[in-house]
Amino acid sequence: MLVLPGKGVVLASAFEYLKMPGHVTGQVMTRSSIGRIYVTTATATLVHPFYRGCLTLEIVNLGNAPVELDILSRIAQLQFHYCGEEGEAIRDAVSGRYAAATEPEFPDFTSDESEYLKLRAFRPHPRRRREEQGGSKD
Amino acid sequence: MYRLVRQVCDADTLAIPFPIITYINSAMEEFPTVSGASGARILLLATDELNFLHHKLDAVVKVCHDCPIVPDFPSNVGVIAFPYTERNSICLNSLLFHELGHFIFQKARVEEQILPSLHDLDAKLETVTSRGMLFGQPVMLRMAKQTILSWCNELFSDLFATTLVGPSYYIAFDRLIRLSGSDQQQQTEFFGRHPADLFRKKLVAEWLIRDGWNAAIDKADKEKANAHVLSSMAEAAILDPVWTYGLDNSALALVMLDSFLSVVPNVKESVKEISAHLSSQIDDFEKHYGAITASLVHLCVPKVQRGENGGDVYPSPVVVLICGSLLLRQDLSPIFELTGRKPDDMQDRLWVEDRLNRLVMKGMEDCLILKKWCVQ
Repeated sequence: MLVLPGKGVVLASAFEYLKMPGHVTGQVMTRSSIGRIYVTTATATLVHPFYRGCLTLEIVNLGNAPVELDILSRIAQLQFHYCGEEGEAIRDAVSGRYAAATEPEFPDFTSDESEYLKLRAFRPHPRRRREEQGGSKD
Repeated sequence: MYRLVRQVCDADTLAIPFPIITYINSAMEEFPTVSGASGARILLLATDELNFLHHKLDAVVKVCHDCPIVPDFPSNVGVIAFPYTERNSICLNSLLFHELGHFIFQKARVEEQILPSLHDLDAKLETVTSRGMLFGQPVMLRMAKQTILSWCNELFSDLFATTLVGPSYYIAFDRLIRLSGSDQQQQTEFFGRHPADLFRKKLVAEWLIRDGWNAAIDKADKEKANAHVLSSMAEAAILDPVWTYGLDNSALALVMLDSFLSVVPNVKESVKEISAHLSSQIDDFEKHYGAITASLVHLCVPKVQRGENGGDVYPSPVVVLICGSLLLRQDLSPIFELTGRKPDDMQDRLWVEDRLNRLVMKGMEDCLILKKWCVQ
């Protein structure tokens, strides 16, 4: 039993281990009964083709009252969409930093670093620009 | 008590190999009452020490009993600990079954069954001790008995763990020896509390071959991907070096070694007796090895199979553990190819191994939960 206090959040994991085919995407959504007690179960809802792993759920209690959630209870639903023809994808591939996860994992921003550095080079922070030009730190 | 409380406070209680301890506790329920371990509850703690431990609770139990304001410490609780860094290592965590063996050795009073076989130790010691020695004979006798019983305890725990998790324990123990970095000579030396590493490895390998694990792996593994594990087990079983006691090869040390070797059959008998109710995992292993390994190679949790009568068939969690341990000793290039990661890159290798370890744990957990679910 998980007791989620009012405005509380928890990073959880679905029990089911998914292996998506190459021509199907998925979308995770809160079940309506759970939504009616002001709990949402997912914020990043897209499941990619070929994804495999246990879905990570960001459970948020938007209400003020504590909510009890049973372990293994049904709180989310998954909607599937075709995004191509079966057999179109050439071969199975596992990619992405959270692939084959079996537990909730904390975010990993390290693989975004090169992108972040490019953006920072595009428009440096004013203080850093002054520092680089030999100006005062203040 | 402080050591235990500190570990409980420090530990992140969710960061333990949950499926292994759940399996251990479910196995304890099946122990016969005569073993003294029936219905025992095992608590697993993360420790900052670089070793797997079994906490002896005699002192805690006594203090709780003697102190009038403190409730009695539950007599059926055992505490074992693992290095917190190894939380996800399914392979090394097979050593937890060895620590469970220490708990069983204590609860089942195996020591009392072995002691009568050491009745002639006193006479043997008389021939090698003299009045000129630093300690009197009673002290020497007590010390020698304690050392031999300690070796018996280790050997009992090794064989008990091998009975429970088969080749997984051999692989974990072999890895631990490699990690310790000791050379061939050091591995033949007995120490104060532990028999020689090679001696233990030899007996574990013999036990596995006796149980039929060599033949089972050879039969189930059609691609012979585990040939090196099989040859390592066969080589270990025929080892016969000269065993020594540390650096001291005195007459006293030789008496102790001789007495220990004479009670090894008694230790084996005790393990057989205590684990007589446990069913062999070999049939289950042969049936599920192919499917479990194929799922893991595709980075998937082992699939549930349909039985002949249409129902779901779940392997024992231990079979998933054994298949995972064997796979981790193999060439993982199909997984590197699937994930586009490089085998030479340390980060990539760690990622793949970590994922495999977690999948094996998830597979064990599924077998435990789904089996219970179906029964309900």
